[in-house]
Amino acid sequence: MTYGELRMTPTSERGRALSILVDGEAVIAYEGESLAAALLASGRRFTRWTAKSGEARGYFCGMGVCQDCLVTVDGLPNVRACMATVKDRLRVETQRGLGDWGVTP
Amino acid sequence: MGASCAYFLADRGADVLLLESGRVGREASGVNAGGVRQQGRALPEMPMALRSLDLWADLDKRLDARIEYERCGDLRIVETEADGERLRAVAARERDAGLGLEWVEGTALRSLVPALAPSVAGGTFCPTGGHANPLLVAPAFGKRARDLGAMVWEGSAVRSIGHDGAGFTLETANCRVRAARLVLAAGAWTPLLARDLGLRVPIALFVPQMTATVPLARVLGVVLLGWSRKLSMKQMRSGAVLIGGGKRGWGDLVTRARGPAEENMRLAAVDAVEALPVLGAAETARSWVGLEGLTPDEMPIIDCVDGVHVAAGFCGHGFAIGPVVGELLSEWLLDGEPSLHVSPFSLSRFPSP
Amino acid sequence: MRSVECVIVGGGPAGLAAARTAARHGVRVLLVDENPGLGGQYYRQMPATFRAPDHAKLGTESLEGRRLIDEVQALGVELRLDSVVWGIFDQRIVALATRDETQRIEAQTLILAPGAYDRPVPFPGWTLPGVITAGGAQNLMKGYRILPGRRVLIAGSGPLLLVVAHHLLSGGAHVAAICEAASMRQLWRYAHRLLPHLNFVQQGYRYRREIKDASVPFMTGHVIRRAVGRSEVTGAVVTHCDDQWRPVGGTELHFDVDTVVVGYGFVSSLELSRLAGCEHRYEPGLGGYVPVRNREMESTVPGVFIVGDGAGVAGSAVALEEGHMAGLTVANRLGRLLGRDHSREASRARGRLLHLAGFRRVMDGLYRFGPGLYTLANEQTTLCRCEEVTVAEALEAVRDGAGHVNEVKAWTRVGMGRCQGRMCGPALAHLIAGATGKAVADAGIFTPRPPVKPVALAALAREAS
Repeated sequence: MTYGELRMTPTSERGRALSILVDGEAVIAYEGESLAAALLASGRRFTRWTAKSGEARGYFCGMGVCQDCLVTVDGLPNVRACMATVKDRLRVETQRGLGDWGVTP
Repeated sequence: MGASCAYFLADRGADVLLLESGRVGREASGVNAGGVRQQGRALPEMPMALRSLDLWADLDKRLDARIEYERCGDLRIVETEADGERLRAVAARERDAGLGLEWVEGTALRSLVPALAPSVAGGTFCPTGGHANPLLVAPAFGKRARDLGAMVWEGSAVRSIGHDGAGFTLETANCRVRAARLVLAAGAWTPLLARDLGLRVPIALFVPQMTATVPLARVLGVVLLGWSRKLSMKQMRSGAVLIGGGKRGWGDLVTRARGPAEENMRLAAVDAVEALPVLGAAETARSWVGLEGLTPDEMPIIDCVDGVHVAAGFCGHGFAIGPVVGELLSEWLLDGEPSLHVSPFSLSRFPSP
Repeated sequence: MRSVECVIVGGGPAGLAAARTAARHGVRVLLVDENPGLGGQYYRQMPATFRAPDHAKLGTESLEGRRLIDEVQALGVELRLDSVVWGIFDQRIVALATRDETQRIEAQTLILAPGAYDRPVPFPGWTLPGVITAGGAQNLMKGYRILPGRRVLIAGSGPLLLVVAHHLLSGGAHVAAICEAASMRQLWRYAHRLLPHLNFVQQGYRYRREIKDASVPFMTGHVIRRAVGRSEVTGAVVTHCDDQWRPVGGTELHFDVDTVVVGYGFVSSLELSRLAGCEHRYEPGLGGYVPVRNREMESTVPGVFIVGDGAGVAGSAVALEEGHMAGLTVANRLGRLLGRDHSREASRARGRLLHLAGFRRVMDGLYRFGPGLYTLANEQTTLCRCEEVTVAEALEAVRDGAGHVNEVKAWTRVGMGRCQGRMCGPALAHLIAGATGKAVADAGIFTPRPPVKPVALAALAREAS
């Protein structure tokens, strides 16, 4: 999947361009897009690996119900990408399992 | 209680019928916090709590079932110096009663629970404390009892009980049952049943409320028990954190309708976040309540009166001693007396009206 | 605690219509929605930051939605966006939460318009990235103008499949095929009854023409068999199905695709109506429970009204009319619209609803839900996506004596994850029914408990004044 082919409208019709960081890589997004939309448009189909079997999951229902499109945003795990809106310099990490809280039990 | 008693009786070849109005383990047995603790109980309960440790250790093998018992240790925490002194005095009495536990503070405390709020001054750590999955235990007892030859009738509410010289007659929706011996372990419903037999059992309905988070990465390795505030927190095998401790919802014994109180969901959240601040971002998945039985002195009733054995009113902390109470009842019925003293739990300790 | 004359939960067509009607008659309305913008799913709008939105390509719903949203805002309806109603207590105390805090509001009247969500149908490979729901595809394309993929297979039932295909084609995607579960015979049986509904037929014909011109195979009597791929979709397999939408052995057709859009209808969101204590009854034709309501849209709980797809999936036209009806009833109840004025409006609305009911019956007949869908999963298929519990594990619990979804949940954790049973509940009930011979209705639904959507502890702890 090459980045850029999936947006259906020219950039002139989208919001202001901004840059988010996904697993350390700069990714272009447009103001107003959901995080899920921006990730998909950049060719990133999965947002996490599950806790039990480590299988890849991503966008499924698109309306905040299935809780599958979870990512870690600015250090906070378990954020639904389809319900989050992109912001300039947002730091996004695909999530392993239940996410990292920065705490050792 | 009923299911574990049925198991122990069946294990010894007795002729047992377990009558359950709904499904085994769906009431108080299944909705509690799942704590298996020895500290923080009324001292007379200590012998049972200690004996229960032996049972819990290999219960999964005994019942040939998954019960998710973890002996991770529990920690009772205080937030002020004054509370610390009072707790240490209580702990000394518990030690005298045979329980191993130690006072922890400073680095020892922080290494036990790194995510603990700075406001926690210290606590008593008991390495034998733990938890199990309440949804699995009572049904496992019921299933094993069945496998061993007990009859287990679910959906069989008892409408009335009569007592004549030869034994007991129970009317259920489907039929009439005759039994030589009777055990009443119907939780908050026990007084209604006991009334038929002319027994006044002072058990009132109380509705403890629990909250569970969604499964989270490991943040808590021991069971947390609040002393300065009523709070219990434990992280289950699934990763969900169970928050309990003193909050109450609403419920009705007759209709069995019930639900959590919104204000108490908020208060439980406040307590949880103040004890473990990292949980602020953790999401709650559900809040529920149980219909449980409360006695005037918050200790259970374990007694035999007029030939009727009663084991009820565990006030929301019966889960840990469920297995041992079942065993004691079976001894009482088959050997004439239980192997531990249960006189502190006699019905006669309550003044008659 | 704040008391509000009318709280409306859900800002889709039904909720918006209710807000407009109530506000027009002077009722003070508070409208709550979980999303950052109004419109729900059907009237989903593009972000305000997008410039020169090409409405022509989006279809009329976008414009219709925009107009209704503007009206509601102009009427001074109080809005709470990015807010989730997570509980209803004491019949009409509404608890809502933003990311940071919770608020309790006493609703003198409460209109629930929670809508519906795509029916989750487990099949081998359904958890692969690249498998998305029809609603999810629509949200991406209409809401953010992004294609879900470049080579797409559409499988499901109902006119929405054609709409999805239309948007995909307009974006330059390759649509490998559309697999409609209903058979040609089933479709023709009801087709003539659609004739009085000319608009719908015309639109349908236009879509059919479009996919024909694009050489997209439209296969009736076919269902998805499995999605293929290791860590994302690389292909899809479809097969013939019978009248119950059960896959029949024999030919399997393999498609080279990177995306599978599944659209087997919708299920109503019933968590709030159940929590509020409203009665529900099972509707086999709709494949699920619906709340019991009277002609005025009132549930069995006084002062609680339920409208739109959240009361049984019936489409946007019905949702708008039901919302309007509830708005009239609330205005009447609060003394703002009385006597003949009220009864005249109400009887007009009832007339329109009756006319729409005819159309609904045809649609329900055309695309009558086939329970055979729930035989698509095999023992290894993930049943509970959140907790990763397989069909095999759920069946083991049933063998051990679990006869109700709540029991399977207690013993296996199915339904205890973040989605709170929404993705697995319907399938689990069918699984239990199939394994025990019970009726699906008796296999039950998960007991809804607050919060009906996950709410952060910090938000629960902080009460807004």
